[in-house]
Amino acid sequence: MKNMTMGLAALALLAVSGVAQGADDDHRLDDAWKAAVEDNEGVLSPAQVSGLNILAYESAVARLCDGIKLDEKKFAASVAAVVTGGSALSEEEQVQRLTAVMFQLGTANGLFLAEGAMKKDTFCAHAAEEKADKDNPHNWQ
Amino acid sequence: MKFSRTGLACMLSFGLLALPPLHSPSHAGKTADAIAAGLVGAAIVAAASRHHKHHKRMYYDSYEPYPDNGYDTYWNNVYSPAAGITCYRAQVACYKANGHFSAKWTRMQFADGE
Repeated sequence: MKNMTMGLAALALLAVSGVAQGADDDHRLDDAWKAAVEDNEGVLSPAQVSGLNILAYESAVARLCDGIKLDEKKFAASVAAVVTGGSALSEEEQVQRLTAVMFQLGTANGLFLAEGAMKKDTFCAHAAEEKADKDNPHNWQ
Repeated sequence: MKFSRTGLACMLSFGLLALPPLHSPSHAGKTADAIAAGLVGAAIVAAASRHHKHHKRMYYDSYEPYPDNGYDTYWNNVYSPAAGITCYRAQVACYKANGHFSAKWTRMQFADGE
């Protein structure tokens, strides 16, 4: 029984460590994301970063996938919505903050383009599913 | 420097990496310095914070810097909110079991501040 318990504990540990390093079967560029994120946290809130990640993804999908185009007006409004705030910042801090926004958006866009280009068929099929999901508001046409 | 919402949105939407306008040589130098600080300065500010030299206005209220040598732990903070969904807190992104980023789950998990 003790051996079984230890075995289960070992399996659980393996499972946790496996998840922590990213699933083996995903198409996420783990090391690139890790390098890009390091020391760029803190300027933008998680909610803002998630919004920029989604916008970067939508842009990548529109560039890679036939039949999916950005609604540029909605996209611009969504960018503005993420960027709002920071009124208490100094001029210099506003520039730094805007740079963080551009860095996050550009870096995430490049990484999503790379992830999508590696598995374009399934990437675009998945994007089409997300586009068709009525519970998923998006900025595509 | 003030950016109108429309102008900023256009700049970001149609040129993803477009830089802010530079109005004069002296202002350009100041802006360039700030941009450089933004690109590597986020690291500088974050590092400074870890040494308790706070520049708090650059941080959102609940931000807690990871400790020295703590980046791997911070990076490996991963969870699964539902079967087939994996979310990465440091990346602020969720992926589906098919291996692809999920805008839907990322929004659900992070857009409202988690």
